[in-house]
Amino acid sequence: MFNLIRADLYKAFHRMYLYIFMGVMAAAAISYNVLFAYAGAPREVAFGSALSFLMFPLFLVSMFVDIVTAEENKEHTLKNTISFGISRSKLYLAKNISAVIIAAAVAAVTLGAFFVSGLLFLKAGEGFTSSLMPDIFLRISVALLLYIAAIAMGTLLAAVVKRNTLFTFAYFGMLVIPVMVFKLLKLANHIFSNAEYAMLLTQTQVIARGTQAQLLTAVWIALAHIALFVPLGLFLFKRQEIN
Amino acid sequence: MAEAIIKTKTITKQYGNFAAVDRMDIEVNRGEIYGLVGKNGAGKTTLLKMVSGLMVPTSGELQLFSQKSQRELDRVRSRTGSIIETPGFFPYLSAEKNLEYYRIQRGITNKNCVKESLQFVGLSDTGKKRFKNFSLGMKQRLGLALAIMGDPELLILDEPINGLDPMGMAEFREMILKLNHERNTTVLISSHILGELSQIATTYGFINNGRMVEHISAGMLEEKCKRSLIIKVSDPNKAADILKNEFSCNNFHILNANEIQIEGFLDTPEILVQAFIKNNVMVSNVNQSGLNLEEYFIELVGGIHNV
Repeated sequence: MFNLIRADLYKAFHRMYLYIFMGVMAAAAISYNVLFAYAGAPREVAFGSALSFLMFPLFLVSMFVDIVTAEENKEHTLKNTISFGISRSKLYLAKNISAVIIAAAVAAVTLGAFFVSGLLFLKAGEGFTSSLMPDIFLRISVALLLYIAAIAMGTLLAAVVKRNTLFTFAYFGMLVIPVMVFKLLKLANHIFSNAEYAMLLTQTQVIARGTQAQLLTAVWIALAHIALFVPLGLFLFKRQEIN
Repeated sequence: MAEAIIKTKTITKQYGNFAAVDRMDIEVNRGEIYGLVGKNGAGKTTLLKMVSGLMVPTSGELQLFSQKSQRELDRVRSRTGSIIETPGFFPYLSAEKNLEYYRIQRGITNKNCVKESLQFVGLSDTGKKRFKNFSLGMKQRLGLALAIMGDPELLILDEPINGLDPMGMAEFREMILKLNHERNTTVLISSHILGELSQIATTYGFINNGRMVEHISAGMLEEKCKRSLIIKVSDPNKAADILKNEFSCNNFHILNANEIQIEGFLDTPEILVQAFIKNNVMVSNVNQSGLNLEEYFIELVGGIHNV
């Protein structure tokens, strides 16, 4: 499995697309702090407000899944791997792990740019206490776990939906539509508010301001998504006809 | 005794009520170049996909290198190389980087194998040119380069010469023969271009409507395709008299002023030649006329309307 991951990383990091994406993300993070500096806001306000953007990377997850898994359908390259006798289980797990590593690399660059530029451009106010940064990092860590769950969901969809464009639609649909449906259904029955709460998109909003207990719930929800989507994806992928 | 590299027993792939491959038995022995012949939709690609592990058979048994459990099949597939349908690669990577990806993935420790494979297929000078800018011929060559990387014992090639120009076809043929002769690589190959296939195959499997119609060696096929002798003579009428009088043979046709076609005597044309010369009929050429692979296949499946 190590070789499979290494190969995926070799491919991803030999692609300009990934570096451009990293650059854009880093530039966005720096621009965010520059704007706050221009407005004269203190560091803690900028950092605290940034937590409300935790839901957006959820939509970017499809790009990492595309780089690792979905494009294999588009380019018909999976047959080269399967016909060599590489176990589908190992391959599927490796695809999940590779996407997580690539996402982590992009996250590291983005967060690095964000915090370094924040320290450089923004002044610490009275609210910039010693407990602020650990709290922000805790929330970001929980968000990363939710993104990993989204990668598991995206990889399943990439394995099942053979068309790249359809895959992107399916991924966005899976993220957004259930939340919207449960929002409507909870008007009829309150039980659906629990279902809405268990969605990844909802959780990325909850953890921005949530309590410790809510953060723990978010961790369990992320793990439950991973526990559901990885085995299900594996089950479906093992029965897939490869073109 | 020949070692079976691929062996299937009543292997079947069913889609609802339609059997793409229907209880097919096939045996490919070590060192053979096995040509799979069949019309579109006959089941060739489906069979090759099942052998390659891209498709799971509905029923029946598949053995590769005498192994049949799924785990063992996966293991021994690392001794194979394949091109199934059009070669697929990452468009933004060069030939070398594409192969390097698969070298890492397959855990091949010999880093030179990438350059060796590219050199073998004549793609060593493509440099940084990306796969998306390759011609069809170059793509097919890269497919072969990947298939042979790591020196496989078995090559599974599905329509590998589709889209190649005549020069490309000839080069591809030479590469396959070289692999077979120099490395004793067993080859299972399907192609629509039967003229090309007939120049390399040592055994044929004729498939029609998902079933194996005939499995035959190239030697046997050649024998079966022989139909008549065409002899160039100085006097066809006199030759005809000799055939009637000395051999009691009436199965001949005078084709033109100096050619006569004779049914029979395929293995003993020298008897006829001697008789003609003895009776002052000069013989300048003796040829065997028969069916080519395409004509044989058409005849086998019951005429042009069934192809």
